[in-house]
Amino acid sequence: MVDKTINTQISPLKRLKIDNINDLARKLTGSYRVYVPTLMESKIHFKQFTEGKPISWEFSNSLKPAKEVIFPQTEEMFQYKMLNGGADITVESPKYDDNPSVIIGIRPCDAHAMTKTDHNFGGEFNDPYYQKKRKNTVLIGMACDEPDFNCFCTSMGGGPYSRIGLDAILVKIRDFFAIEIFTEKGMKLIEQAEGTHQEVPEDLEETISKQEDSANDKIQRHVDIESVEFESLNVFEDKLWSSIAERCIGCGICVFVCPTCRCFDIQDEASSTKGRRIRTWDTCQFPEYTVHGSGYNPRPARTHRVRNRLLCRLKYTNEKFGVGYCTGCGRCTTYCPVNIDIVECYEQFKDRVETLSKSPEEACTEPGADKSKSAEVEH
Amino acid sequence: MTEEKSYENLTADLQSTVKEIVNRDDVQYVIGYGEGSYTSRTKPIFVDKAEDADKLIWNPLCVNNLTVFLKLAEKLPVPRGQEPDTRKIGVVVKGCDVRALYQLMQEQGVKREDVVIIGLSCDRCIDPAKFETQILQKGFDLTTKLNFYWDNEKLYISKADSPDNKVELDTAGLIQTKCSRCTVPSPEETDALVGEKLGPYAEDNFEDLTELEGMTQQEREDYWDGQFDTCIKCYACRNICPVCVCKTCVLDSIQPQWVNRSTEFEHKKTYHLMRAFCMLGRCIDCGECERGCPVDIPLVKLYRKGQKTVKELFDYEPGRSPADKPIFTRYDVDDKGGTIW
Repeated sequence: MVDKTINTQISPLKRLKIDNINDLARKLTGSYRVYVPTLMESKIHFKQFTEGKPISWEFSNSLKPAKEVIFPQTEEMFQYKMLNGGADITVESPKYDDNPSVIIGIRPCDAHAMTKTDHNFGGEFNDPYYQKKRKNTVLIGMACDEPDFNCFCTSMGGGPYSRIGLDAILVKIRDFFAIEIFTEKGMKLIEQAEGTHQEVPEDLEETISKQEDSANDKIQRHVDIESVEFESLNVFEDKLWSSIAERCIGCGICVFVCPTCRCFDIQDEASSTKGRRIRTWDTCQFPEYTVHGSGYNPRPARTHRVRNRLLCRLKYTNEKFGVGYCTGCGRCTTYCPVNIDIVECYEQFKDRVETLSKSPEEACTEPGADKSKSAEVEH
Repeated sequence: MTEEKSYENLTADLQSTVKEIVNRDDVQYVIGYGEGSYTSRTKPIFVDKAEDADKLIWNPLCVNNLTVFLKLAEKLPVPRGQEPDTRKIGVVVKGCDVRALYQLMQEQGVKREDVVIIGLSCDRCIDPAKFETQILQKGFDLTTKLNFYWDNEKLYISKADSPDNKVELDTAGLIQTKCSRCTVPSPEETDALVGEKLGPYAEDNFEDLTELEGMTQQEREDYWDGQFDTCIKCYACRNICPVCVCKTCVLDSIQPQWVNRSTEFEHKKTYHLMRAFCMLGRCIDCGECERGCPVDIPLVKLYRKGQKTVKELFDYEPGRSPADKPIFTRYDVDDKGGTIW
């Protein structure tokens, strides 16, 4: 079991006191696009701060992960128009507002997740749409004092007070908030927020540390998955995956609420003389996600698709980028209508790897697990 | 209807019933409910061996409509020389769930002889999220196994290891809304029934629609626009629906594309309006769409209006019996609306 007190402490450049976050949001509007947790019907979404809609802090986490500010669910890539009967074609890139953005109240698990999705949208394949927004966005986190039952961030290299990926973090202390700032981006932001902050009334180092310990203790679910290694194919073909996937209904909710899921579809929306190319969140859980032009589908069954999702965040990303992608936010478990519980899945996976490495003869292949067979399968 | 009744006894009945059925040569597996990974959840399980029937449970948290797995049954390729398994599939159903089967049988999507229907007489189910909040307030945690009991309209829980310590639940707001107006707690036509047959809990005159019907058209449109705006286009409502079985759904089709994949408001509204039309004459009111929706859009009310309209115009309720004919396959000279010319 992973040590509960994760040392994610990064020494702050500055620690200040903030009485009212609404004032902070108000002051920054104008020089920043300010995104805050907003209650819409019964769920929290990150929307732009508007007067009259006070920020809601009574929540464990937002429904959609904060990544949607940097990587929106629908994003226009370019527009085109045909003029003069098609003789002239103009292509326009979307106009970016060069004003920076700030997300106030992002949870540590979502900020941690952004440091992971950075690998896909940077490095070998630089995604200008993501990068422009990412570089221009300041992340001010809100430490979790009441983690949800399904939260297991402490097992995935993070924690309710983790500072990984954040420019600053807010911590609720009695009747005010302390803000700890770690980066130049964060310092620049706080300089624009004159009048909303003061010096701290006392040395808060120990108070914050005690609160962090208390929050870590409130995490109820733990799993030791970081140490699982497997190379052999018999785990890939094993009946473990169908035993998890048999109750999956392919709804895709797990993907839409996941802070590290990042697959998208590109579509053209066109009428006769104009159109636009958009990208929109897609999910490997939908069968048509992997359908080839020929009609062949390498992941024809739900077993293959559920297996892909679990191995993507446990193994493939580890191989490619050196980090697992799950940050332990627990949303997939909370929202799954058929109780596919990710902590339970990880434990079953770990047990099965151990069993098969000791007794490889126990391997049980499912018919159809060999994905080179046909695409006849209905979803 | 709900005098002293223990779900433990009903569960034992269910387990022995299913054991017999799974042992039959002509049955592949039975789909039922099993323990969830924490206290407020249950999960669908697939029993293909008699000894696994002991994993089955039945209690007010068994909210899923398991008939959805019939449309999802994957016909995986088999090794050369082997025939695919075409034996029957058994499914454990409450009164609301089974209507999906009857509807699909009417439409000849499912054959009666391919399914073994194991009915449950339902004393109403509870909302798992609200249950979770209530038991946490009452000092229970989410890792303890609980037992459920009814005693004269009162619902009790106790820890499995101290069954005599019964704690009463506050059922106001806990029992699912659809259950309070249920007219079919016991499935009509089954191969086996667990629990004595129960009669309707209420008459259903669509009173739940009164508030919306009392609004002006603009007020109603504003209400629904507000709801559709929160939609995240996850398609869960369509995927979880047991009667949504089209090979190429109108909402998925790319060539031609009827509904854009993008998530601007007008495309979300189009999605929902098209879905509402698809549900006319087919929606069996199981409420899974609303249960699955991660943003709690009150989809049941939207589709109920369709149900009410179809009932008024054609005196038809979907999924009442496998012997009915679906409305779009019937014609009667007295049908309202006249002709098109």
